[in-house]
Formats: sequence, C-alpha cells, structure tokens
Amino acid sequence: MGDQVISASGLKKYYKVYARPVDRLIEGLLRRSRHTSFPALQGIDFEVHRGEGFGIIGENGAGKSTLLKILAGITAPTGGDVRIDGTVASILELGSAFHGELTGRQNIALNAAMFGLDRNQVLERTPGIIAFSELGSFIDQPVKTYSTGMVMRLGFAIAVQVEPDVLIIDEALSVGDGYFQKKCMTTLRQYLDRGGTLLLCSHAMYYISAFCQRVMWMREGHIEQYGPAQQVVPEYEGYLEGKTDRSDEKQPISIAGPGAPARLMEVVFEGKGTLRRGDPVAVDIRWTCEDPNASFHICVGLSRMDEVVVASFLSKRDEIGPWTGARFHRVRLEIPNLPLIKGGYKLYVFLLAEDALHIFDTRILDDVFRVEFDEYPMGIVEIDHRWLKEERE
Amino acid sequence: MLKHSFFLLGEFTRRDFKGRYAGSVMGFLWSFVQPLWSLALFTFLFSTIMKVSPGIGERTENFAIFLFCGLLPWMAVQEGVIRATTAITENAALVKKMSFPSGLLVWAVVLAALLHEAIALGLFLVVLGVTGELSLSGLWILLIAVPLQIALTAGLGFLAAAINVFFRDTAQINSMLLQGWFYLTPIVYPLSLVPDRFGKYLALNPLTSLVALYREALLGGTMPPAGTLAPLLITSALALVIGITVFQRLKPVFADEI
Repeated sequence: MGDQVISASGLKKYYKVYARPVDRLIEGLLRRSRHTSFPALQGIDFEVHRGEGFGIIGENGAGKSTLLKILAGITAPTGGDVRIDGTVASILELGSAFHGELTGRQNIALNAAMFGLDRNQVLERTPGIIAFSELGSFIDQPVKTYSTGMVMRLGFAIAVQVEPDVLIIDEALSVGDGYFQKKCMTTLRQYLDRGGTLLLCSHAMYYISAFCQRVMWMREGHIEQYGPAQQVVPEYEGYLEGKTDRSDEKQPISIAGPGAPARLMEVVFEGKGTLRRGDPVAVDIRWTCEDPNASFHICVGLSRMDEVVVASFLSKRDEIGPWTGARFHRVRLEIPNLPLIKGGYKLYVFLLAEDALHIFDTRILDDVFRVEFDEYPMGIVEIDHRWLKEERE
Repeated sequence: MLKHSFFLLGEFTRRDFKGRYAGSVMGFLWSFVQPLWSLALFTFLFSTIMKVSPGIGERTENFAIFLFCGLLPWMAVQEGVIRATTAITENAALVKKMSFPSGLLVWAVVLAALLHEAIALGLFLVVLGVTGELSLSGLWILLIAVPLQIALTAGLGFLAAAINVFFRDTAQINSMLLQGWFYLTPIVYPLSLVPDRFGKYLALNPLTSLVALYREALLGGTMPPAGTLAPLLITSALALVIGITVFQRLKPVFADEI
C-alpha cells in the first residue's frame, strides 16, 4: 500500500444552471451572472492505491457520476486537484460510443482507439474481443441490428481487453444474462489479480463487497464515510433500511392500550450494539398491573430497519405463561445463537392479554443492534443446513 | 501521442464516411452525384438563362468548367464548416461518456469534406482530359491552396463547433452566413462582371483568392501575385488560431453543457 494511483484533494464541481438558454448567451456577452450554481461535489478528498478495488456508493444524486466523469477525464473539476498515475479506461455507459451503422468489428477498432490503443494493439486484440463478446457471425453486422444485451457484451469486451492501469466502471455490471455476468466478474477478478486498479460505482452492494477492499459512501456531494468495505457497506445499508423510517414522524416509544390496566415498566436489550452471527442476545422485560388477577402473555417482534418482520417470539405459542397472580412481573427472552448475518434491527415488545390478541402496551427499541460480517454475505440469515454428496456406485 | 491521434482521426473519418452512406442504395455514389447536380443547376441557371460567360482574362470559355473550378473548394469549405458546427453536439453520447480529444471530431468532418472534394476533383480531371482542356502544369498550386483551405475550414469549424455547444442557433445562423458567402464569392460569375466599387471589397474575401488559386491550378495557369493571396493567408491563419484557442478554452465544459 502507499502507492497511490489516484489522489484527489478538495475536489469540487459546480454546475451552472440557466433558466433559459438565452441566459447563457447574455452572461457570456455581458459578463453578468445569469445562473444559479448547483453543487455536485463539495470538496472530496480520497486516495486509491495501486491494485485495489475501490467502491463508490451512495444514493442517486450523491455526486458519484460527476466524480467518475472527472476521474475519467471527461469533465473538469471546478476546484481542487486530482492526480492519476497511469492509463484510464472508463465504462460510464456501455455501448455509448458505438455507431449504429458500422459493424461490430468496425466499432471495435473505433472504440478501442478511443480507449487509447494504437493500430497494432487493436489488430492484436480484436480476436480476443470478438471471442469474449461471443457475438459470432453477428460481429460483421451493423450494431443497430444488435439487441441491448449484445451491445453491452461488446462494450464490456472492449473495455476489459484494453487492459488499462485504472478501470472505471459505473453501474455497468448488469451486463446481459447471468452467464455473461459471471464471465464479466471472473474477468474483473483476473484484472485485479494481475495488479489492475478498479474503481467501481454500483448500487449492488454484492458487487461492491465482492470487488472492493475500500469503499467511499457519498451523500449530497460530500463523503459520508470512507473506509474498509466491511465497515462502510453495512452502515450504508443500515442507512438505506432506516430511511423510510426516518422520513415518518418519530414513533412513540411506548403505546399504551385502551384503559391500560397494565403497562411495560422496563425493556432492556442485553447485548452489544454491534453483533456477529452466533452471538447470544437477550431481552429483559418487566411490567406492572393494577389487578393482580389479570393474566398476560408477551410477544417480542424482531424487525429489520425497513420494517420487514424477521421473527416473532410469542409466549403463548411457546406454551409459556400466562403470567398472573402478582402486580409486578418479569420475564427474560434469550436467543443463544443469533442466526442473522447482516443489517440493522429493531425490537417490538408487546404486553398482551391472556387471549394474546388484546394489546395492553407496546415498546419499540429502535436500531437496537447491528450485525457485522467479514465477507459480504448474500441474504440476511444463516439457516442450518448440510450438503450430501451422492456417492456413485 | 501524435501518432495515436492520427490513428484515431483516421478511425473517426472512416466512421463519418461509412456512417453517412450506410444503408442508402447508391451509397458512395452520392459523393459524385451531389456536385454534378449543383453543376448542372448552376450552369443551366447562369449560363443558359442568364448568359453569364467567364469572359476576358479567364482561362476557359466553358462556363461549366469555369464554375466547377470554384465549386470544388467552395463545397469542401461549406461542407466542412456546416458539419463541424454540429460535430460536438451531434456526438453528445461520445463526448459525455468517453474521454478522448474531442477536437478530432472536427478534424474528421473537415477531412471527410476534403475526401469528397478529392473524389470530385478526380472526376473533374477526367472530364477535362476528355474535353482536351487538361493541363497539369499548374496543378502544383494546389499544394498551396489546399493547406490554406484546410486551415480556413478547420478554424471556422472549431469556432462554430465550440459556440454551438452553448448556443444552438449557431447552426442556423451559419447556414445563412454561408449562403451569403457563396454569392459574394466569384464562383457562379467572374470577378470581371462585378462593378468596380464592389469589386475591391470582393477581392478582400479570402474565398475569392482561394477560388482564383483553384482556377489557376486546374486550368494550367500560374501562381497569382502574392499580394492577391494576402486576404486568404491572413484569414486562414487567424481563423485557425482563434478557432483552436476558443475550442480548447471551452472544451473542458463541453460534457457539462451538451
């Protein structure tokens, strides 16, 4: 490490927004400002090391594409400094450089030349590009006759065969069918293994985690977080999951039922804020009631931050309780072996009547814990399983 | 670096050339038909109806030949400037998504226009050979005329291409200006027909010198005195410098503005 291939400091980009086209002309002629500025990047500092995969994530409009365009040399920053040490090839949009009337083969030459290859290199790599794209005899047909998938395959084939020092890819991995996607990913992996540097911008956290050691999370033109993928990606996912929640009115922590002859006193989550799969967790619940003869059941709900209910724990279903004969009650729910593998979670605790239908009181523990991981997992739980290898006779 | 630029320029020119005729039945033949059609129309209009003749001091009595000498450079300048005007805006997808020297897009259309001219020129030389008016003695003058013509076309093209990114009305204004320029250049009439009080202004028109150079070159003439070339020389050099300077200045924001 320490060998930086890209270093950016104080990178800024402001777009001029004109109400009418003529305003631009008036501004140019009279030197009087007729525009409003839209800040797309407001001071970005980061470094990319040679040979690493570097991810850029964030919501739409966060400034990712603007940043990539600056790095690709397509547009100039308004302020700040960026230094790139090596050749750059960028796929900001697959196939955008193709001319529909020319054949696939002719477009290969044009496109590869735009990526900086000279005539001999183009001749040398064309067979590889054609083979990779798997277009077969279509390669000598005009590109306008291609399907979207075929255009993307050819575009990707060219970019990876160019073998740049830095490859910039913007959301281009959803190339064609599953088979071709896998092929692209294998190729990117090999490119990284050979020491290439990859800058990947994607909404698919699976790709980001698969290829990137470090990730930059951008938000409204700023860097929100910047660090190891296994740290930044869960934070970002948690933010996305919680976003719908946050936009709502703040939910009351305790919702008392009608009449409320009973209420939850204390609900304590026992466990660290950040957990790993397999960690033990427990919830300690205490409640009080006016009538010692009343009977109660307890329900605990486990939800992801985006309100997907992951699991529920109901005392009645588990044939525990009902609790009765006292004015104070206490129960503890233990989960010895947490099967969750990623994400941020909240707990709902319901104090129920004996019928387990009527709710006396509710308590919500918002954002109560978060599950971390080393290697990005698909899915949210680990399910007990085994593989049986069938023996041939 | 320069070598790669030439390679890329070749690819762009090929793209322009192939892309333009792809899918049409006559294809490449159109580059012959277009100048012949103009030639036929103008000859009918100016020679047959209006009885314009090349007149004294010109190297041919044949109006069609006289006209074609002027049409050749004119068509290349016109095509080059008009197509350069939209060279950047028409290739928005390229400029916004790829990193490459976008000036090559302008050079490519200027070069394509020059190739069309070369084809028409070849045709013209064959016709001259058939009519027995072919003389190769002045052809070397083209070595001076063509570079000046390229500089003029490219310079104006770069300027128009850059301005058109910010001000799309440029393309419309340009075609009007070019129409005016065509009739203010002694192409369909000889300079000798122009009243004296206008003639001296027409002599300042750089295209007047260019057309004169072509007529000398193609009809076995001699190099005109250097003084008459001054308007062309100065305009071409200025156009090229100003055009490229403005283009380079505005280039970094093309991708934001298209």
